Amino acid sequence: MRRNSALHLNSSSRPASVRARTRTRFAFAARCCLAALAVSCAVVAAAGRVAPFPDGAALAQVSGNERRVWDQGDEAAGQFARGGVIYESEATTAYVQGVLDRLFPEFQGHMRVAILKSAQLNAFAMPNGRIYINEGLLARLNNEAQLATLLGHEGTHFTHRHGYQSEESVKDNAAFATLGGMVVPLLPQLVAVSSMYGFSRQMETEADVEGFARLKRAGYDVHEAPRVFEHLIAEIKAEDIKEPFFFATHPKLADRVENMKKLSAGVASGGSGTSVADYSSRMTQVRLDNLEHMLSMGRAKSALVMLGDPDRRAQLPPQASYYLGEAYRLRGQEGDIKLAEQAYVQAIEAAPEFAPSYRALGVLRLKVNHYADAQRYLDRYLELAPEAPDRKYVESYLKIARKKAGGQP
Amino acid sequence: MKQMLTLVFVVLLCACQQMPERVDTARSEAPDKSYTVDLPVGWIKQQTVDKRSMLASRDGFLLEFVAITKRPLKEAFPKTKKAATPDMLPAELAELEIAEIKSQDQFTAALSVAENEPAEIGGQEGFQVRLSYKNIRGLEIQRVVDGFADKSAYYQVEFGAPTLYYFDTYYPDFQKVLASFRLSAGDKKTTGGSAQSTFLFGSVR
Amino acid sequence: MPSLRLALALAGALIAGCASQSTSISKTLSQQAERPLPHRILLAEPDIRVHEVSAGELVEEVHDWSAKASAEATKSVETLAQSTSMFEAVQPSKLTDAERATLEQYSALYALVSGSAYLASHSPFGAWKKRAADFDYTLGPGMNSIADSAKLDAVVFIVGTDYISSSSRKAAMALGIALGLLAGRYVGPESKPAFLSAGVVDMRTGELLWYGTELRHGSDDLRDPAVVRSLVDDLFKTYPGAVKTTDAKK
Repeated sequence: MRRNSALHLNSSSRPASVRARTRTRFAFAARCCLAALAVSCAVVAAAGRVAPFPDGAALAQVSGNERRVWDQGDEAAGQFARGGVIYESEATTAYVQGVLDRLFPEFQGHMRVAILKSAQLNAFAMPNGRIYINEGLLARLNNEAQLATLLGHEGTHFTHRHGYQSEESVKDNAAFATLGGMVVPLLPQLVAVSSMYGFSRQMETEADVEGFARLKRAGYDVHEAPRVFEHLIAEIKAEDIKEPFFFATHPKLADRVENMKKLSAGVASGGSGTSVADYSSRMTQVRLDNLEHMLSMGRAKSALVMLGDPDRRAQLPPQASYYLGEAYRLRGQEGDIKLAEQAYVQAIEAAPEFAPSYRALGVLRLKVNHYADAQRYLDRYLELAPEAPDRKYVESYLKIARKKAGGQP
Repeated sequence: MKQMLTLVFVVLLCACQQMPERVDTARSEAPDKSYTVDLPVGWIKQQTVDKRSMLASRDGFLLEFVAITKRPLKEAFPKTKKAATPDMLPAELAELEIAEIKSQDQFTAALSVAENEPAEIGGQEGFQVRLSYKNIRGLEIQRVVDGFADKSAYYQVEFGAPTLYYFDTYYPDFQKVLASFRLSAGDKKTTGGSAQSTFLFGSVR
Repeated sequence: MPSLRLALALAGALIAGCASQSTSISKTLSQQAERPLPHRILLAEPDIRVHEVSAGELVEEVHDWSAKASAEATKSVETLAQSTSMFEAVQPSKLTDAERATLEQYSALYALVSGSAYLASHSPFGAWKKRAADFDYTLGPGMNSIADSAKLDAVVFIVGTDYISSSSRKAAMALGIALGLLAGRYVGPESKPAFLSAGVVDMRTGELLWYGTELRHGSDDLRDPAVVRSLVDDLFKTYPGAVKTTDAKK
């Protein structure tokens, strides 16, 4: 687009009438800019808090922009279902739903939980009352009180309409940043971003505090609450994730542990939901599926966080040592093959009918040229699992082992 | 959907150094001349800008595609940041490949493996994995990945298509592509001995 | 005055109607004059998504708007088919649950097929353009059992998107015009066009018989039933059943 030559300012060479028109144009544009900035500041300021839902009956009043945000949640739910990412276990889902309903009895029937097939430690609440918890996080918790801490936090995001408020806040602050940035680069962007994440940080703290109150009202042992964040810290350390601290939406995990400890400091010990055995009995399959999932994604370090602790391993079925062996093998650091071998041997001793341990040991022995041993273990594997999906791999290894061991091909 | 189409269009536009061209002669050679492969005549082929992949499709990459990829061993699995080694068993390579595909997005993370078995690719011992997952609309997508590693690189010959009509229709074309794959003479880096020895010799400690 | 012309040009680019683009790819229906046109055509539920874009470029779909646009598109196609005797429009409510589930799968496949046709026809590369011109896209014969049981010849799929600026974004656009007076060029957010496409698929063979698109810049948006009707009318002007001339590419 051709530049307007009148914008080249050289006052001494331009007639007074041209200079006057230029000043008028600048003044008009400047007034437009100031007006736009004023409007956007007002919008940002007006994006105030909305009252929490008092109960399920109030949800019928949801309308306008908030209804739109709900519809997005419904769309996301459809995508999860169609995409095959929901962990299909009626019993486990019903159990988790039961805990949620105990925390939020006045919203029973309106808040629904689903478990996602993901090894990551995460849970989130949609503005429409759907709560999602990853199989990875469910597997990592120790007892029902910890699960209740998590659900109390996420459920509060829904009851306090944080999803809707965040959406409006992001839009308003982003608008401010855009309008401001068009005139004064950089600074409004920084202000908007700080405000946006500051708002969300407030919400996370509110969810912690209100969730804690729900936990207490429902009779759970509140001293379990800090341990949920300790799990997350262990995961971050294991996977060497850099925890962002400046613009993080969540307060630092260590801060949250401290906050939870302060909240629970004044509360007498006792309360329900601390039985590790009860929770473990409900989560056995989830934990095994999660281990398979983690290992299939190569997340050996996370698997070792779960399995490296003997107490934790004792909560799992006896073949858990096989998964420990697999985690060492996949991590592949110096000395890990030896540790893997020991774990496989333990798995065979503890669960002699569990086939994969034999295959794993057979392959290790093959790789160090112990052909007779390799043949023995691999044969046993195929006896126990004749329909094994990796049968062809194992048959090819056996062919080599037999040949090398001097046996019949 | 329009955003998806625009994104695919832009990605393809930016990803391609070599202009897309119709396959008139089946025999195609890798950019670094390390392998040859016969692509289906009448399809359209192009390379990625990093020259690591040769792509071909008849109807468009949203539908069916064949991809031949060569990556250095240390960068064999970029998403999971894992390396391949020449002494890895085919099952171990397959395991890493499955982890790599699972790491692509939340939908591939829920994939199912239908088959995972040893395979020979151009005379090299490797693996073949057949898997499936559903896209955001619930449409099942199937992929077949054949792979092997030699002393310097990880090679992959891959086919993907929706299960509905496209996978079965073009799978025979992929099988021909796979059967035609050959390392060039200078790149056949076996460790000596029979193909069976190659399977394990690298793993002797 | 140069500055006023500039302002008018900028405003015109944003506000004034209707630059539109139509494309139509028509295959066997135009190339095989003896081939009978499909008579009973199933109207698959349109997949039209209408979004609101904030000044901060946040895009969110508004389901109410999408649902209304989709319903209007169905009604418009039905009315058009009836009034012009182009074909007999059949509603999906006539199908069984299992048939509707199959249709949903083929609708998902259609999204990929029509996307491929669109990308190829708009590609700057000769190889893909030629591919689009050859035009033998198909969904495969998997819907033939539905065709037999419901006595259908074809199915029409409609896909559309629109992006409506929020009031704060419109304010930003106005500011962009004001700043344009200083900078000599528009510096605000871009407007996004409304897009509608339709494809007619032979239900027995799966062949994509005809595929058309309409793109509208300017103030037209899919929230307005009159705009949806007009887009559908313009879209189907290039349908071989409606006009005798073929390949009405503009």
